[in-house]
Amino acid sequence: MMKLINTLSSVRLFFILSALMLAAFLIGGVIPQGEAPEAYQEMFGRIGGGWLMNLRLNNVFSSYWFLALMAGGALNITACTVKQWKVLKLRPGVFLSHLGVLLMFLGGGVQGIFSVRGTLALETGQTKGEFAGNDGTSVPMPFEVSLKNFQVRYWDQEKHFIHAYKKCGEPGHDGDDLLESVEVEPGKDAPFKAAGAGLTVLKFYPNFHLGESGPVTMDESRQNPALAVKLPGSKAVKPGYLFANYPEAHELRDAAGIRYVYEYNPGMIKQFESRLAFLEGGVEKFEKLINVNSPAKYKGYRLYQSGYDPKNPRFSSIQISRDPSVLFIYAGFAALMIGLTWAFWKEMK
Amino acid sequence: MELAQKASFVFYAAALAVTLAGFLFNKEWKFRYSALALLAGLLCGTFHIGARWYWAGRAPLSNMYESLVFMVWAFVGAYLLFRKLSGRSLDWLAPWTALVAVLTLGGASFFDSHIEPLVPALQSNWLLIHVSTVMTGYGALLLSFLGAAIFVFMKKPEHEEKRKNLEALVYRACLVGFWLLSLGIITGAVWANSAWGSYWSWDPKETWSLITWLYYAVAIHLRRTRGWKEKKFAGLMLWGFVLVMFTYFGVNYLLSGLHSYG
Repeated sequence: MMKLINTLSSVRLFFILSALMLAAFLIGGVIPQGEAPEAYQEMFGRIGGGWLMNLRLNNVFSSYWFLALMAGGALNITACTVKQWKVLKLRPGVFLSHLGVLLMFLGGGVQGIFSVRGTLALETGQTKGEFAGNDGTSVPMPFEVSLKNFQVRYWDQEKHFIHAYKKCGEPGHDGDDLLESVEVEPGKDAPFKAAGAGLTVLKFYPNFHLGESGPVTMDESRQNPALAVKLPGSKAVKPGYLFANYPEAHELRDAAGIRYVYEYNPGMIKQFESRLAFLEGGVEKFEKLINVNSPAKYKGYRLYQSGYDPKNPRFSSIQISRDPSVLFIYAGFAALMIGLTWAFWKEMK
Repeated sequence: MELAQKASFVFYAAALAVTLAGFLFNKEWKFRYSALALLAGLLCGTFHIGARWYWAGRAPLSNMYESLVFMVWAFVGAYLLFRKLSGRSLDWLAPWTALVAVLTLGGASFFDSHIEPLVPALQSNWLLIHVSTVMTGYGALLLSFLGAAIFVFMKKPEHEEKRKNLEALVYRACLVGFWLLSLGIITGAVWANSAWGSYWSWDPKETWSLITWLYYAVAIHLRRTRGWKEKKFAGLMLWGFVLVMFTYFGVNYLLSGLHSYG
């Protein structure tokens, strides 16, 4: 038994395993992970891409050879920790730091076997009692979650800019030169200073759509932002339209040949947050507002605000996890740091 | 605020100039005044970071410019601390420290220094804890790298005493850097778990941090169990800092992931 422990705890084995782990981390850190097969064939050719996927280099960190390597590392550090138990009083820091790493390996194993993780996609008013697991299966929860409200908050308000271009006068050059750019507000004249440039912004359409009765906005999402404008001196009854997503497709020029281009700036997001209701048997238990960095906890599950859809203001994407490994991992973190502090402090002195 | 940053740069440059002048006029005081100029630069840097913190309403650690400025601050602070602890036997390292500080701050000036509001993922107190720990660790590992680089070229027999002190500095700075790097990775994992529900995602930055951490762990084991000291250990520190730099810069510009905003 001691012979086995001595072999498994050898520093030589540690160096060999570390070199292999470093190589594995490097492969996983350089080759993009989890891409579609076509992407690898494009990057490395048909044969290279095929080999790469056969060796699971496209998913290094969940491959069997990597897990075997981790198991080897766990064995090495377990044997080393067992061996150091005898000299615990002499080198408590070294023992604790190794124990910390061992607990992290253990936590990784517990996570792989027992953790549940996935995504809960909700729209305002919707209630769900299951979520989509990361492996594609549907995972039931011991409660239901309802999205009462979803809100995106911005550091600054959305802005509308109009750029005025005039025809380039140089012979042989048929492009446009930028004359002036101004920020505009719906219902007001554009504050152009350049001679000849000018228009009035009539209305903002967040999601422009041509309905039966004319232009309408489908909803408040900024999917197809457009401005209705009136050019000075224009005798046309109908307004002209500028589209942020299609600046070239719908060209708008005034009588002087000045072309106008609309730029929509949605503003920088400050926070996005969901007001969730937790229910059991249809009865609401409590409500919680979650945002990025502030999750909700209920019955061993943690719900994290993870995403939104700029095209659908009612949609919220929520990450769900139930992970019993956190206890081992955090205990490992604590043991590692106490151990390193103890060991290094002695050495520094 | 920007004035403090410029003053910091000027003092670091002065630390270099003082040494050069001291050499020209063969003055004994050259290293002492060089270290004093470094201290003045550090104080200006402290004021700059504090003022930026006040104006931004958050710790100034959210982009390349801010983190680089903080790393230089930590690097100079680490040198001055080791100098104090070693009974000033490392005085002669002051101009070299100044040179690295000047070059790094010069490099930082290429990045956008505007104060921008934080994206939702960074709005957490963990930003301060995680980034400051990692960048201080990088500062200590930079000091270890600097010591190692000088150690490799220091071969004359009359420099034996200096070599001995430098060797101790290289190892101690490595231990401090490794300790802080460990704490930085741990605080990052705790933050990730509280923000995304996963303490480890094999994101490129996480993977490269782990590569760096494991490399330094192996280096420390090689020294303690195989006696890799002096030139061999210095070589390990030189290569180790290449990994640190790739983790810091390379990952941000060459690989995309959860840390893309940094």
